Amino acid sequence: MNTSDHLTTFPAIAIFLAGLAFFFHGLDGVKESLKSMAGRSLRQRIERLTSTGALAALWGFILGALAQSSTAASFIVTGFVSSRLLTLRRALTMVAWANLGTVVLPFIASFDIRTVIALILGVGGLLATFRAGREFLLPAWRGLFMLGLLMMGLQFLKDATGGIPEEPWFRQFAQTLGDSLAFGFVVGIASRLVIQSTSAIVVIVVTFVNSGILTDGQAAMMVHGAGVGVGATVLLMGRSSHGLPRQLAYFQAIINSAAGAILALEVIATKFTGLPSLLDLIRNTITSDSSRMLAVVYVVQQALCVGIAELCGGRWTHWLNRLSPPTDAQNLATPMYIDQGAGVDPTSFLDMIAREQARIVERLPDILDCVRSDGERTLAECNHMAESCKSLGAEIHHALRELSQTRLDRQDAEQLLALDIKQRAVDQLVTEVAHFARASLDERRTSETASDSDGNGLLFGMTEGLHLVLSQLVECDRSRVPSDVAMLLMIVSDRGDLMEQLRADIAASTSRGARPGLQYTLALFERAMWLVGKVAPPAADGTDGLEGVEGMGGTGGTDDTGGNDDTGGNDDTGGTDATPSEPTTQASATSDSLQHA
Amino acid sequence: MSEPIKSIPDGVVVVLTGRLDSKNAAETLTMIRAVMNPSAKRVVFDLTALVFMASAGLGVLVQSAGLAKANGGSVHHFGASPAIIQLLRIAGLGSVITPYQVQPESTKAPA
Repeated sequence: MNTSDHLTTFPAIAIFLAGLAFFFHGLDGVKESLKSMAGRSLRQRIERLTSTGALAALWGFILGALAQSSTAASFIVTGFVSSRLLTLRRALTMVAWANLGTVVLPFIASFDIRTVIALILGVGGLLATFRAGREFLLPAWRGLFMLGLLMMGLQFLKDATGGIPEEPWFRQFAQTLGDSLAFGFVVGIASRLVIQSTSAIVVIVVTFVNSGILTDGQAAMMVHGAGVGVGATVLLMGRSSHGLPRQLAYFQAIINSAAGAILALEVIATKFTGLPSLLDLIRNTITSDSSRMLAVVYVVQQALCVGIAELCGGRWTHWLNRLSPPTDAQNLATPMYIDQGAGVDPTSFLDMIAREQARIVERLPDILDCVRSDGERTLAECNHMAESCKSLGAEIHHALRELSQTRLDRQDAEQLLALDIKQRAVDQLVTEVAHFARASLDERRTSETASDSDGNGLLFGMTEGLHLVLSQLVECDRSRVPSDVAMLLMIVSDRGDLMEQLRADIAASTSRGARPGLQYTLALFERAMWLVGKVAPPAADGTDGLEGVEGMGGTGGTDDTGGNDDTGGNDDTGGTDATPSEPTTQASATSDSLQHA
Repeated sequence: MSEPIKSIPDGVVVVLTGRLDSKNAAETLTMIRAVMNPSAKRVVFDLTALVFMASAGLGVLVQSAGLAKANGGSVHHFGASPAIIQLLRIAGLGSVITPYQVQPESTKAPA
């Protein structure tokens, strides 16, 4: 692009917008790719690479040097933390040292980041397009391409705004403010918000000092203001994040703002007290050249970021947890048991996996929250919850796969297979419930618009009914009381006739008959109910809990009800087998990945 | 919401009024548990004045059904509005809590 056009012309504004789009799209892409790659084995590899604080610091420094932007480095590390590839503690060390890493390349080499970006985009894009290597590498190539996109976005933002300080109006404005230190500080913050690179700001500041527009003190204040601007930028760009990503944004904001503010106060204090300043110290001991002096000021500021981060050490995690507590969904995605399973015997490890599985089951009712009358979560929060259930499900599959490669006795092998089959059903149930919630929300809006009270009643019944069985499933999974399990199976048992009747009811109504969405929601409901029956645990006494339950175990129906039939009855349970029958074509739950086990 | 529970020869009649949701479900269930004894074979829910029931309310019915069935008894309802009947039906409780065709004498208002 033409860098002489800077947010004052239409092309520059367009490039600025494109930069924002590339940045956010790239950021999402990096996170998604990392999530796809995030398995126990990759996490263990990354854990080894960052096993000590020094190693994490080194990787952070390299990341900062390569990305040439503390903002980009922060968001890349955020992607790793979101995907649970990196612990928060190590991530904090990496982010702190990435700040220092950004000072390296601008000072040791004439290095054009555009070449690196083009290389990343080219290599990542081509490898992803031609699906190079083995299948599991595909998310890595996509992630590389998305990283290039993210960096290109930042470069576009930098290009579109970098020339503003050279505008005649800006120079005139600067000259009218004389030698005000506050002005340098404020301009530093504002510049960093739009330019997205502190090192680029340092270069601009040097030209101002050389042309006499700014004094050395003002120039130093502009660099310090840029430190505060880093914090503001990270908070602004990560404003939609919650929990752990938000914690990293706060951390980056705090250390950069604190470093910038401390050094700015030092400039002001020394000016008014007459004591020797940092600039005086550098001038007297290192160099009197303005550009080098400012470069050293920048290095000192970034080193101070690291100092502040390291000074508080492990206390950061505690403070950040209070400032932005991990969300329910993030807590759920973090394994509580299987990560501690290294070295334990297979039987105990299987027990840990079962407990992890129970954590997913416990959160199933919450996925419906967004569509329920007394639910407290939004659709986005429910989707996050479903995503977290899937992430934890992936961890469980990894753990089962690893265990299947060890020597197991018959009992353990059977339990492993049972857990795998159940996990597949749980995964499907999570997906169906999330789809149901979304579809139900859409249909409810349509019903409200069309004043279709029957449609609304049907949606309400399905939502509350599904929530009931999911809540009962949680109880059964905890207690395994035979009568509770029997009751659950009775509720979800073959609903073929009832569903047919509901389908016919919908079709019979002209207004609703034209709404395939309602039929689709009903199909999702039916399938979710069927899956609940698949996920239901065996009773604690090893039976299916049906024996001895009226109407379920052949002990006689409830004749004293005096008939019933406006509620639809339940004769189709057959009286002896309450196992739900499959409502639609269903992928086999065969444990294909474990066939060798 | 829930009025005092009335006794009938072989069980109890629980009168539910207003709304039954997560706000009062636990309280209602505690009340039902308190009156359930091995001689209470039949639990009848009077839903005449119940205007709204959420999944927590359905849970109360299911839990009560569990308690009654443990005694070898049964659970019924009467007086439900069409909306509540549809809710019970869609939730799959049609065979768990069956309709009580005749209103029990003890629940009728005095002439």
